[in-house]
Amino acid sequence: MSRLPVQSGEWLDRRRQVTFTFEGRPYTAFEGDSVTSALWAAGERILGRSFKYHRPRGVLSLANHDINVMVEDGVQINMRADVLPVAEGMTLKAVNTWGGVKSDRYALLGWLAPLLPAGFYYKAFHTPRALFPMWEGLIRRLAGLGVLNPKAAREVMPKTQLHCDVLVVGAGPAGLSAALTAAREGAHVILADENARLGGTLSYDHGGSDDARALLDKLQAEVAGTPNIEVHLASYAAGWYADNLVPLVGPQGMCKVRAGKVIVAGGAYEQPAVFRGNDLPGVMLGSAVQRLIRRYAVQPCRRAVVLVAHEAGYRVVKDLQAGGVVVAAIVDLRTEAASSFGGVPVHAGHCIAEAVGKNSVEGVQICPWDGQGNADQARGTFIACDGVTMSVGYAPAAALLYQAGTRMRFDAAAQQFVPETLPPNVFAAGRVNGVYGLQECLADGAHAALRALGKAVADALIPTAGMSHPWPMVEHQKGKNFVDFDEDLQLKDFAAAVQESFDNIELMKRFTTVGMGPSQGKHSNMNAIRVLARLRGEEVQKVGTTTARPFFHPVPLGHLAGRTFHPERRTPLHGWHEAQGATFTTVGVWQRPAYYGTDKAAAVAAEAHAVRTAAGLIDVGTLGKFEVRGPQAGVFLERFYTGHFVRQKVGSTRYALLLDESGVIVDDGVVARFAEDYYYVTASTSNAAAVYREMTRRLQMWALDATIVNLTGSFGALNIAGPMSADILRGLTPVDLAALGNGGAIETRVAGMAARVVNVRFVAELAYEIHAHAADIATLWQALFDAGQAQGLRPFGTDTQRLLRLEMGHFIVGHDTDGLTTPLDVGLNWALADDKDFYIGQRSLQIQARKPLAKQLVGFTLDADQLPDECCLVIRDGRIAGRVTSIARSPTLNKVIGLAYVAPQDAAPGSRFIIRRQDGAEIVATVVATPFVEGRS
Amino acid sequence: MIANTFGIKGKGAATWLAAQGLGTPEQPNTWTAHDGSQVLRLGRGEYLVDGEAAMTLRAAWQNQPASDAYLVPRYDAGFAFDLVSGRKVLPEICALDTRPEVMGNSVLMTSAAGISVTLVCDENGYRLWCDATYGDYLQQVLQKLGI
Repeated sequence: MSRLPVQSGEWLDRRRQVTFTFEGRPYTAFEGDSVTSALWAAGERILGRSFKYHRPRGVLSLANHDINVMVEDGVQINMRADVLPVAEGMTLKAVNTWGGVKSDRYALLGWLAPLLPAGFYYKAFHTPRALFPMWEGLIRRLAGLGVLNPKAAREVMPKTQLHCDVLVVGAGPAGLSAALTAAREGAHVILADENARLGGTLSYDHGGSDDARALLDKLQAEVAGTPNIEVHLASYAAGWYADNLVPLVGPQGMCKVRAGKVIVAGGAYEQPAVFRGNDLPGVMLGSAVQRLIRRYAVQPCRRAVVLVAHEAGYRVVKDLQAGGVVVAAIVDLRTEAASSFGGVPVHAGHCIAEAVGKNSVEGVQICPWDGQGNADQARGTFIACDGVTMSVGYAPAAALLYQAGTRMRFDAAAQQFVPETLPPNVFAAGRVNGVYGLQECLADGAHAALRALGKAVADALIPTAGMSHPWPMVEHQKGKNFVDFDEDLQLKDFAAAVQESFDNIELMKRFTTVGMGPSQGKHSNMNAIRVLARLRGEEVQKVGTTTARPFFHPVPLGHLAGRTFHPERRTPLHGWHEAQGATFTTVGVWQRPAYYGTDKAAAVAAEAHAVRTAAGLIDVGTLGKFEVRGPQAGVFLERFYTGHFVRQKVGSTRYALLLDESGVIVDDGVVARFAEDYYYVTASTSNAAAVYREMTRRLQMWALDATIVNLTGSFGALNIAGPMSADILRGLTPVDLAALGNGGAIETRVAGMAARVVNVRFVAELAYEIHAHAADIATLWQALFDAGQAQGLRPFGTDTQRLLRLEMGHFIVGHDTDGLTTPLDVGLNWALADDKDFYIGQRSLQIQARKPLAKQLVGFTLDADQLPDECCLVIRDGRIAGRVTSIARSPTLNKVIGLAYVAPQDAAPGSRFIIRRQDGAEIVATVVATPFVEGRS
Repeated sequence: MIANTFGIKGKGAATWLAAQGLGTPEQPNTWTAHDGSQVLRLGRGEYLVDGEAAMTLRAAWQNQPASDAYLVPRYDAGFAFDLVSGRKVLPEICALDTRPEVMGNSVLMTSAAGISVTLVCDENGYRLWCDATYGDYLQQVLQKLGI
């Protein structure tokens, strides 16, 4: 065990012990530990395996980027152990091993490394082609990251929408300062950080003193006492989108933040040095060991060698010593340095040429070097150690800035990309600006906040020089000096890419896959850019960076899905249908009775029989229902639909056909005229919302003196159909139904309720639609139902309705038509009032009318008693000529009837055509005139 | 759940409401209180009244409808919840900024949980309306989210 005494500000709750298992072994930790810190404290060093060569890996950053240490628990995969909090009863194992993390048999791949350079798969496996499936299967097995459990229950993750004046991303010194400054100015601030606690570097970079800790306590207290700062911890800003939309992804879901201003204070990623064996467990970033010590009270090692290239690296030495670690040596890449520090010898102008050890570091070979990657190995010295820390430079966490459109420049003195031109309403502060001193970071954060709020502030601070070494990489003839730990890319792989002419940063990325692993290059892109710049003999600025796209960090699909809402609409008669045992179906957003009972075939047959022989009652409250009122209401409808409405008689109805600009059928319905300036329009259930939207849009566009009132929800409607329907209705209304006639419409009373009665023959020769206020429709329905019992009236559902309308020969928009169907294809020429100056789609239709028809919708019957599926193809001369759109066995006619698109030359009644069944067999159909059941009801 | 609402739209809507003794908000998409009822201005010339005044207005319309305004028959489901619940739940179902300090006396006509809703708030809480045909659905959503 290497647990340290209580550290000031540690994240552990030592009163609560947690037990979990990893790779089958039990471990005890404290609440607040991450899985990695708990395992490291228990002395474990091999925590995971690398993606390609399955090399043992341990701690690198301890900052949510240790992608070689990902674990799974049987439900969740690819959880990053470096930040995953331990929880009681967890059962974890490392992803992507064969035989466990300690004895992973896939590690044999390491021996084959010379045969598997970057891009090897572009050149292998092509021949012989027959073997490709085998290779594909093998590579997929080897390259996986965790195994999905398809039986895992769905975890519902809420998505919330938040708004603020200022969003501060990053709660380190600069971010805290920015948030507090903005809040003091009265702004509502959201402060987000991917860490579990506030503070950023203040929570771990102590340099052997408690000053940083004391400052953090003070800032934390101030944040806690500022009500207009809303803190989101363990939440990373996943991306930047237009209008400052930034999704924050946390363990409990995603918050989509819309911010007036965004301040990016996300800091910088510490970068690894590149030397042979730099991936051995025990070789860690300086900030990682500081996190282990200060946050988790874990001694990272007993005896360390510290590699530095800037002054902040010496703070790591102090923290190591404070943590009881013996620092054996300081290796300073720079030529000028003191000969000792804190009693530790400093080897200036030296590098680590190699870290050695089998499964974890056991020592390092240090050598003088030329600062350009060449070590003088003949003068090397071996130093035994069980830990190596690397403090050689940084790369800005600037993904959000890039996504927002920031122009970045490479600052040669700081050796870092920094913002040159920020987009409107986006600001940067702290290390992402290249500013590293603590006081400077605090000032930079405050300045960013004031700038965001439109206050005058001093010029931007100058980036701190010397915080990143220009070439922290050492060549080695035996390789294994890794630039990218995600993909096991070695220094020599980049030279190979350039040799193959992939010498542009984007091409090199794709050839080598640098930056394409789970960490998205956070610890490799900067070194890769330096390598390419050197290989091309150019400045880093000229090489540039790859495109930073959202997401900044992998986002679980469950977070993207969110809670998901499935709106469902019920008519006012829903309860009645339920009580009558209706089987419901979903039509658009509506719940509608498909039929009453549980035996579909029997119910549909009985309901259809009732309509054809007596009467049926169906709830059609789902129809779109609109009043169009005003002096120019008729003019509006005349433009909107294809027919004539200005001259329509009051008290009559007309068919309403709506096209889009290309002449394709969009919807159909009925227009009833109740007064000179008052029309009542219906639209189909599925299209009601779209029709209303288009009506209001067109009305505004045409600026006519008319008003549209949407009654779709506030009015109910029913249809009573069948030969007895008039008799049943007659007893409940004063209307003279005989006088109403075909296509008549009237406002009247039915069963004492104000109602609109319209004669509409959709499912039967005799039928009435009755529309009334939603609050009245149940009373009206019950009255009709009761009145019709003596005549054999039955309620019927949509399945029966579809059969009945097919018997009547009516098509349904969207079912028998598609996104290319024009009125000409379905024989609706009669509905086109081409003597008008304009209707939507008229011009396109006139052009199409000059061309020969490609298909035509016809009614048909089958010779054989078979029932091919809807959508079966119509075949003519071996080619597809059309398809079946509707088909059913008519109980009324006792034969199979349907609608189908056929070649125009086959459209005349009596023509025969071929339908290819779903099993490939072909059957003959005969074209017949519609309606199929004329005069039967 | 079914709200007691009255709707009217047209050039003469405000004048007709004034003739019935109801003050109307000066700005579109704002609301005002009237003797325990709420008068919402939904646009340039459309109003929604919720509360006891709605019943009086319906009767008044029967007796003396406006010549230059149109009745908007309504069938709304209405929901009321306190500010604490609203602050918790609304960000999960609505993309707009529904914080009371931001909303003031605004009327938000927006989408919540995938359906069209009208939302107002005051110091006592939120009031939300939707088409009553969505009422059961929205009630289930709100209950699931803890209201």
